[in-house]
Amino acid sequence: MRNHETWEKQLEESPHPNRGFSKRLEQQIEEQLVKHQSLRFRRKTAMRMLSGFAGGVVILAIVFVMIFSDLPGSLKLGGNDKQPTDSVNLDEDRRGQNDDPVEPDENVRTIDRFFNIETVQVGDTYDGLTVTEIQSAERFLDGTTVTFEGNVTLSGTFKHYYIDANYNPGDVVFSLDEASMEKLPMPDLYEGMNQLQFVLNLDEGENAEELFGPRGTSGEIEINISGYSAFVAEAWGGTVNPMIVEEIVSIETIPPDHPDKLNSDATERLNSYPQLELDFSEWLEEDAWTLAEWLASVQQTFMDGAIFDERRLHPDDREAIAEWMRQVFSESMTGRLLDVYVPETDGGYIVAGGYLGLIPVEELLAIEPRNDGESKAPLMRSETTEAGEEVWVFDAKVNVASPVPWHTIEVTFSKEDDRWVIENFSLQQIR
Amino acid sequence: MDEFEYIKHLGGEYDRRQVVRDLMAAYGKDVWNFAYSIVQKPDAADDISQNVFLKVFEKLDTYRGGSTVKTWILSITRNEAYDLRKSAFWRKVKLVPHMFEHSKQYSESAEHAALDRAAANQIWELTLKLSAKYREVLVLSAHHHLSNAEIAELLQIAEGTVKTRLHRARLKMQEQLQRGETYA
Repeated sequence: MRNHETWEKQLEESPHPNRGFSKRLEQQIEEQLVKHQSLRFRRKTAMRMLSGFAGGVVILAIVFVMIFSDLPGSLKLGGNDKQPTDSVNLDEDRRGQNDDPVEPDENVRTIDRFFNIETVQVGDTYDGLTVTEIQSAERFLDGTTVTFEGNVTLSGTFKHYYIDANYNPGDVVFSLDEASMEKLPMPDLYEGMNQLQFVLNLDEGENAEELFGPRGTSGEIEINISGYSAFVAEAWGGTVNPMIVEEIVSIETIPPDHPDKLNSDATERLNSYPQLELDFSEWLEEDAWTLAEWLASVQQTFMDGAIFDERRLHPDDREAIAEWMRQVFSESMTGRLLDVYVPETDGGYIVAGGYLGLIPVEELLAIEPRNDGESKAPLMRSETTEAGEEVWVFDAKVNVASPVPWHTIEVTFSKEDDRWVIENFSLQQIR
Repeated sequence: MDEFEYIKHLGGEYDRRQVVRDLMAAYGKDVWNFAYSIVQKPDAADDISQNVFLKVFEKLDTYRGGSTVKTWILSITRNEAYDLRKSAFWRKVKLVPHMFEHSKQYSESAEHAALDRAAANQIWELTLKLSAKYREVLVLSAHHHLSNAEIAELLQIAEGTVKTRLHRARLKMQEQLQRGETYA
């Protein structure tokens, strides 16, 4: 053996002594995949809509970033302690309007409202807004950012998104009304679009909750801006556009759709679980297949019922889901499942959904006892807990039609109200 | 034969998440370990692993078997790791210890960083000290058991260059070992 072959053997170990690709990390990725799948579905839908809209050629994301100076204002963001109420109109304090006539300058080019991104130049103007910077946006293919400065008052509706939203988590998203859209020069690729959305970014120290209400709040708003950047790139559809506000002129808020009513969508999917018709005390080896089928059916019912839904749940809805879980899971297991699949999050509970991990989803090819030393462990065994309660444990090795075919599966059943329920379960791949 | 060869034939509707689950089971450790060998921070390796499998999830339809699935995934891992290293966040994190060089915070940061940079054994410790171009060929060869051709494809360099780098990496390692450095 050559010298290097000796020490290189040590590199076959994992590089870190106690960190690595852990089960926990795998679960985190799995959770992200669930969210990602939902996002992917939406994105595909959005892309189909946008590609139809844009003649099927180019999909555009146009992002507007406000560049503004530190001007005083009656409701300068973060500049005072005033908080918006459900209806605050500050018209009397409005300032910064561009009412003064602009002196014509023969060196200044005026651009159309829908301007050509290839020919626009620094210094070009449109109705009081001046191009101050044009630069490529490196993160996007052929992306370009055109920055405007100037004072404009815009109105429309807004929504303060929840922190776990797929798009713009925690952001305040502003949708311009038709009249306001007319005020902003845009790249000509944007011509014909009937909606413009912006994310209202705030400076450090400014509190979106104080200014716009808690996450989940929506409403109508009128704002002053002092500039923005129009970003054009070939990108995914469905992205909303960031914007920074100088001054809130008026705001009317609608409180978050906090669960004060039942969310029927979240509970109407809760189909009854199949009955478990096995007598564990008279266990036959072929019962393993019946039990595996039941577990697969339970898993499918669970995953069909607890589908990811970012809307907030009424506590009664959550309790309805808990009651549904109790059909087949013990009280303690139900609690643990609720924590994971119907977690408390920003502004209430959501159905997180996802893979249950009770039994592999692929076709089952074999069920075998697990090796236990020299003897084979039984597929189903009876145990007595420390509390003196009888439980039955299904402990098997299963082979499925998958690139990683072998799994160990352990399901513990306890008795509640004279029926067997799942007290615990574990599924591991054998590599 | 690559057990995930079938992926290149996937089309239409299929359980995309299950495929990624299987890939995580098969290559999760490879991804994390390769990421760690580049960034040498466990938390960053976690983040990279997550990004890699989300990207795999997103790009499954684009894999057409030009390389093995393992090489394909390690290639995504490498890109993710180097993207992270290029990011402003990474530079900021790396700069912070210098700002607190003589302060208590620095001692704590340094201690934490040392724990972060732990290596499983002396050979790994030496390997992680190699410059990137020698380290990655050695890791891909000795840890991930890739052939020179696969490494060449992954790193987008000539196979001869892989051989040269591997030879030099081994020489450097042997020099270090002969020098009898102490590894407390």
